[in-house]
Amino acid sequence: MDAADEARLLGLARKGDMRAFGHLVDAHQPAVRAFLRRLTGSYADADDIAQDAFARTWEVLNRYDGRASLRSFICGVAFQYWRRGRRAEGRRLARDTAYADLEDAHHDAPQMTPERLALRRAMEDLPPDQRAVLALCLGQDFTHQEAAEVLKLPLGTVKSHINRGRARLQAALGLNAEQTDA
Amino acid sequence: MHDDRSLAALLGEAPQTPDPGFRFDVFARVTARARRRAAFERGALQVAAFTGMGLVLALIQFASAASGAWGPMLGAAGALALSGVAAFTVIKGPKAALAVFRPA
Repeated sequence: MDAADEARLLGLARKGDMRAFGHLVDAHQPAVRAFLRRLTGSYADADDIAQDAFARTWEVLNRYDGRASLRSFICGVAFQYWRRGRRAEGRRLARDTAYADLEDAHHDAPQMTPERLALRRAMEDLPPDQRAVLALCLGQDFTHQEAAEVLKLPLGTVKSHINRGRARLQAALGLNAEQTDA
Repeated sequence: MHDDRSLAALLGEAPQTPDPGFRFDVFARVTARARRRAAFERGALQVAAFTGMGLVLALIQFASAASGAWGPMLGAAGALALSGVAAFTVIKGPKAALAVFRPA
């Protein structure tokens, strides 16, 4: 979807056109869901938060000023939901200790290999902002600038979060920087 | 070898194609949230209306202290009738008074 199409659909959605909003959901759901899957580690939780984020976006479409991309805006909403949910209930802390709880009910969820498990645990040890930066940028779905907009962080902080976070993840896999850069 | 992309893939894959089921779930949530918000607004309006009526009732009683014995009674009856009319005006739709959110 190009920028002109998105602007047209956005205009229609702001007037209450649900079908236009549906096209926007289709266009942005892969990036938003990928971000949340990496952030939460649970495909089911990720979809739950993503759906809430899209529903909230529908309510606040008129507040979107177009300075950031729409997907950055939606990811920002999703990040706020995730952070609020974490604060409120310490979402599924048992996942850290019980392997069985790592099984994801989502039909797309991959099998939890030891490698994935180690990465997941390393992610959950990271501070929330650092974790979110990695979830946004590692797959190269978002630029550093976009991540800074989503998370409302300075660009330099985003870059240092990526470097430090990446090193922590690689360490969790028993790798060092030289091995991965080779 | 683990570059950034493979690390990302291990952490979670993006869905390959947009999932229509996901879109329908989003629409369902939009509808549910709208209903919940409407129910909340109705409830808040009812509370405001009844609070206002209670205040009016108290004022009538206070003002009627010096008038005849039937004055406060008539005032209270009038205020109750007014509050009933206000409550039904406040509630939009055919559902009962003090409607709460009910999923369809």
